[in-house]
Amino acid sequence: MKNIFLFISILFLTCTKEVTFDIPVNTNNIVVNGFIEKGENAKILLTKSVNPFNFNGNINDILNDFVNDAKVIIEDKEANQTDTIFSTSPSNTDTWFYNYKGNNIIGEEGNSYYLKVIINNDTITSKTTIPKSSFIENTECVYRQTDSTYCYFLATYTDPDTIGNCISIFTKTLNSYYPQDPLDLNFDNDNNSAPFFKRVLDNNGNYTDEYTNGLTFTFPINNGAPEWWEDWGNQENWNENEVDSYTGPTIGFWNVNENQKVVIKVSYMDITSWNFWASMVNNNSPGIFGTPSNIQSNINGATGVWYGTSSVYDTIITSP
Amino acid sequence: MKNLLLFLLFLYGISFSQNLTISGYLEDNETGESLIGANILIEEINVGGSTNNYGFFSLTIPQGNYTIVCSYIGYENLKTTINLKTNTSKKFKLKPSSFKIDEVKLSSKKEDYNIQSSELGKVELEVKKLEKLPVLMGEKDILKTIQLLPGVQSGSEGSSGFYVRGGGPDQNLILLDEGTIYNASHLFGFFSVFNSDAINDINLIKGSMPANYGGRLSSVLDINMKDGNKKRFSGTGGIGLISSKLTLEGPIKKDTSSFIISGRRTYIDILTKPYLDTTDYAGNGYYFYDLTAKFNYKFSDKDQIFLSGYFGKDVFSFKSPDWGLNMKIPWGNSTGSIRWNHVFSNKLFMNNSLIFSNYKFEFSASQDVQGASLYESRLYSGIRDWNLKQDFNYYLNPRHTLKFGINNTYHVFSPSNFDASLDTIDISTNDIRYYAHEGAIYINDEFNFNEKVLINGGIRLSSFTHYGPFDRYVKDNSGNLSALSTDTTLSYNSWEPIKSYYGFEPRISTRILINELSSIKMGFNQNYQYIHLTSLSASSLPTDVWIPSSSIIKPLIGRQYSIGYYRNFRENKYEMALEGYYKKMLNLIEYKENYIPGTSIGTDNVDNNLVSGNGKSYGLELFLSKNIGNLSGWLGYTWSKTTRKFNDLNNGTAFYSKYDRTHDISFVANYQISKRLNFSTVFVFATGNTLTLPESAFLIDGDLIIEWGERNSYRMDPYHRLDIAVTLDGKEKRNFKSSWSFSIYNVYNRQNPYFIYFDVNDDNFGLTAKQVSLFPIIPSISWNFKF
Repeated sequence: MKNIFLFISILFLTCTKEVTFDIPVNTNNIVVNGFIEKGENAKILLTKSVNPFNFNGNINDILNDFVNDAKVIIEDKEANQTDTIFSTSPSNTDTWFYNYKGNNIIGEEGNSYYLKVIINNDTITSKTTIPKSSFIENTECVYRQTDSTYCYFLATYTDPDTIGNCISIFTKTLNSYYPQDPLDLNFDNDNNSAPFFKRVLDNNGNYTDEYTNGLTFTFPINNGAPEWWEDWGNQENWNENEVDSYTGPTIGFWNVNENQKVVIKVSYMDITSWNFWASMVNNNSPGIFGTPSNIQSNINGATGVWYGTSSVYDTIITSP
Repeated sequence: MKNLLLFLLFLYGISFSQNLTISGYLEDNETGESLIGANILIEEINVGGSTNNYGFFSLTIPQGNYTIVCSYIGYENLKTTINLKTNTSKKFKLKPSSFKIDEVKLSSKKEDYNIQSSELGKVELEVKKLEKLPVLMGEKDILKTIQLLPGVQSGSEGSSGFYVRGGGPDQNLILLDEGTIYNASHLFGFFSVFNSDAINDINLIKGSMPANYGGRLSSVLDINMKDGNKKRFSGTGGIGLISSKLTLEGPIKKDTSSFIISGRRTYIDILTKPYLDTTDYAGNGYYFYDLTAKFNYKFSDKDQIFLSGYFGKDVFSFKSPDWGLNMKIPWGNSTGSIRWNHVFSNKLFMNNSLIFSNYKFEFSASQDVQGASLYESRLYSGIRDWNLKQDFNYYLNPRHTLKFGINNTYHVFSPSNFDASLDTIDISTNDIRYYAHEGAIYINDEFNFNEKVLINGGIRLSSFTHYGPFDRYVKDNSGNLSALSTDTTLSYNSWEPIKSYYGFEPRISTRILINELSSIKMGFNQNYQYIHLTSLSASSLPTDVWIPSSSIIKPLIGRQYSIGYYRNFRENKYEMALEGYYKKMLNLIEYKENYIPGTSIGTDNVDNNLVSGNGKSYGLELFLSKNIGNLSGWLGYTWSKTTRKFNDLNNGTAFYSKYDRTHDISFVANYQISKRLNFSTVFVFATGNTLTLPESAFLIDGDLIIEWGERNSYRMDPYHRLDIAVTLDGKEKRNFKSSWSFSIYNVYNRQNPYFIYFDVNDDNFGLTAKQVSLFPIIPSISWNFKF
C-alpha cells in the first residue's frame, strides 16, 4: 500500500505541511520492557511514558526516564524459585537497556515465568513462557544487480514440527566502514559497530509458522529501517530520499565492505508476547491506508511487554 | 378478519368498477429511448401518474372524452385528446425540445412534484445537468455530484465514496440496471465507475425507502442505462486529460431492437511513464477501464427483453529490479442482467430479472533471485451474486398503485484467501468461502387517501441463511483466536444451514398537502442488511472485505424516522425542502481494538476478529433550488451528528463516527450565458473529518510507541473548495456536435487536509503532526462530441 500511496502522491501533486493540535497528554505511566532469555537471568527496563510531541531523544533524557524505585519479583513456579530484585545501573541488552536484572532464575525452554512489579503501592503483573528454538541452516548474500556493495541475505531454515512457533528476526552490523554507533551507546569504544540488534524491514521481522509448520525453506532477510541512534549528531545531513542504505532504492540492503560481519538473531517467543511486537507495525500507520492502533500489551496494570525467549544467532561475512 | 377483508375490498374496489384503463409507454420521438419518470396528466379531472423504470404507465379513469398532457424535461409537451370507451393501450412519443430555458432544470419531474409526491429524501438527477458542472481532471462523475446534495457526504478529498445520513459506504445499495455494484470507484476512490454517456436516469433515495428496495440501511442509488437509439446509429465521445471515452448506439431492427456500447480507458500509465522512468518509481503503472453494453428487443407491445452488462477493472503494477520484485494489483466489478418485461393487462406490468454481480480484488507478488523464483503469492477477496427477482406493478385504480414482488440472491463471499509458493513450499488457504441465500417478498401501495393525503406504505419480509461448507474456528479457553491456539473447529457440510435470520421491514411515508405550494411529509422505515464491509482504513478502499451475517455477526438493523416541510415559490421556480431525520443503527461492526491484520488468514474466520456495536445519526437538511431559467442551481446545508458505541472499543464510551460532519454546505450554480456558452460553479464547505491523536508515548527498544487517545475525538481543519467551469458548444455541422469544457478545480488553491500522519523529528525524536493535501488548483480541459 505504501507504493500505491507514493504513486498517488506523484500523480496528484500532494503537498505536506506541519500542523499543531492542543492535546492534553498523559505521561509518567509505567512502561515495562522485560524478557528472560534461555540460559540467562531476566533483564527488565522500567521507564515512564513521555510526551510524544515534546520528547527529546538525547541519551541523558532517556536515562532520566528510567524508573529505579520499584521492587520486581520473578517467579518460576515449575522450579519453585523466586527472584526479588531492585534496580541496578543501566546496562545493555541485545536490543536496548535494562535497569533490573534477575540473580537466581535462569531461563529454561518450556518453563513459565511470572512477573510482579510493585511501585507506589501499585502492582503490575504478567506471565510468559520460553518456547523451544530451532536454527538457521545456511545463509548467503545476494548482491544488488547494479552495485555489488549492496546486498541482502537468503536464509535456509527448518521450522520445528509443532505449530505455534512465533519468531522475531533481528540483525546487527559489526565493523562497518561508517559509524553506526556515534553515541557509543554500548560503551565498547567502537563507533562503527552497531550497538543494538534491529528488526528487519519486512513485517518488522515478525513471523509465525502458521503456513510453514515443520517445513524447510529459503527466505529473504533484509536490513532494518534506519534507527535514530545510527547516525545521531549528523541530523542536518540526513537526506529524506537517500541516507546510505537506509531509504530510497537501497532500502533493505546492507551497504557492505570487505569482511564486514552481519549477525542474524532469531528470537522465539510465545504468541501473547509476540503479538506485542507484531502490533507495532500498525501503531503509527500513516494515511488513509491504515488506522493507527494501540499496541497489544501483555502487562496487567501498565503497558509494555514481558517475554520469554530463546534465541539463535548466525554470523555472515560479506565480500562484495 | 372477515370484517377486515370487507373493509379492504371496500377501500380497493369502491366506486371504480365502471372505470376504464389507459396504459402504454412514453418514449423519445427521435431515439425511441424510454422516458423514465415522465408525467401523464388527464387535464379535465386532474388525475395523473408517471412512467416506471421501463417507460410504462397506466391510469384508470371513468369513461369519457379527455385531454392528455405528457411532459418530460427537455421535451416538448404532448397534448392530445382521447375518447375513452374501452381499455386502451397507447404509445406517446415526445419530441426533444430545441434550446429552451427549462433544459437546465434539475429534475425531469413536473414543477410541483416535490410538493405532491409522497417521496421523502429522494432526489432524481438529470444526466444533462451533470455535464455542465466543474469536474476534477475533466472526468464527469455522477457520485461526486451526488455528494453535493444535503445528507450526502464525501469520504475524503476527491473521493467518489459517499456516506448517507451517518451510514457507512456499505450501507448504500448501488444498482446499475438492477445489478449491484460493490465497489463504485476507480483509482482508490477518486473516480466513479459510471460513464455518464451511457446513463439515462439516476435516483438517490436517502430517506423513506420503498419496500421494493432492500438489503441496505442508508440509501439506494438506482441508475438506469440508456436503451440505445432505436431510430438511427449515433455516437458520443470525449477526450480528457487522463481518459477518453466513446459510446455507440443504434437500431438493430428499427423501432424494435437497439444496442448501446460504451467504453472508457485512462492513459495515466502512458502519460506518467516518461516521468516515472526517471525516478525511483520506474515500473509503477496504473490504468482503469470500463465497458458498458446493453441490448433490447421488443417482441410486441406486451413483451420486451433487455440484456445489460458492465465490466470495469483497475490495475496497479509495481516493479523493483533490485529485489527482483513484481507486484500486480487488479480489482474490479462485473455485472450482467437479463430482464423480461411483460404486460399482462392494462393494469398489470411484470418484470423478471436474472442478475449476476461480481467484485474481485487481487494482489499478486513474486520475487526472483538470480533468475530463479524465490516466491510467488496471490491474495484475493471478493463477492459474487446470482439474483433472481420478479416485480409487479399493479395500477389498481387511481387511488392505489401496488408494487409487489419476490427475489432471491445467492451470495458467494471470498473474504480473504491466500496462495503462495515459497522456495519448495506451496501454501494455500484453499479458497475459503461463505455461501448464503438472501430472500425477500414485498408489497407496497401508494394510496391516494384523498386530495390532501397520500400514503406510501409497504412491508418487506426478508430472510438470510448462511450455508456450509464452512469451518468455524472456535476460541480457546485463554481467549486467543489465532489458529495457533484454536481449540475446536466446527465443520459444516455443503448446504447445511449454519445460521438463519429473518427481518420484518415496515416502510411508510405520508404526504399531507397544506396547499398547492406546500406540503408536509413523514416517514418511517426499518431495514435489514445482511452483508457487511470490513475496513481497516480511514477511507473506502478496494482492499475492504465483504462478509455475510453469520453465527458471530448479526444483521445490521436500521430504523429511520424522518419528517419534511416542502414549499415552492414563484410558480414553482424556487423549491425548498427542510427535512429532519433520526436514524438508529444496530449491530454495526468494527475490527477489534489492536487487531493485527494479515495473521491467521487461512486458519481463522474474519468475523472472529470483529466486534459489534450500535450507532445513531440525526440531523437537519435544507435544500433550496432554482430549477427553471437561465440561472439554476441549488444550495444545500446539513447539520448532523453521528456517533457509535461499542462495548469493546474506546473503553465502551460513545465516539464520533468517522463519517460525522457537523456542518456541510454545498452551493451549485449554472448560468446559460447564451445558446452556446454555459458557466457553472460549485462551492463546498464541510466540518473537518474526525481524527484520533496520540496522548502519550513510550520507548521500546529505541522505537517510539504511540498510545492513542480517545477515538475520533479531534477534527482536521474544515474542508472548503471552489470550482468553476465554462462549456462552449460548437456549431452543429452535418449532425455532428461538439463542445469544449474548461474547468478549474480548487480555484483558490486551498490546501485541504487529506490525512494527517505523525512523523518523528530529526532533531529531537519527538513527533510532529503533518497534514497531507492532495489536489492544488487543477485546470483541465476536455472535448466532447456527439453525432
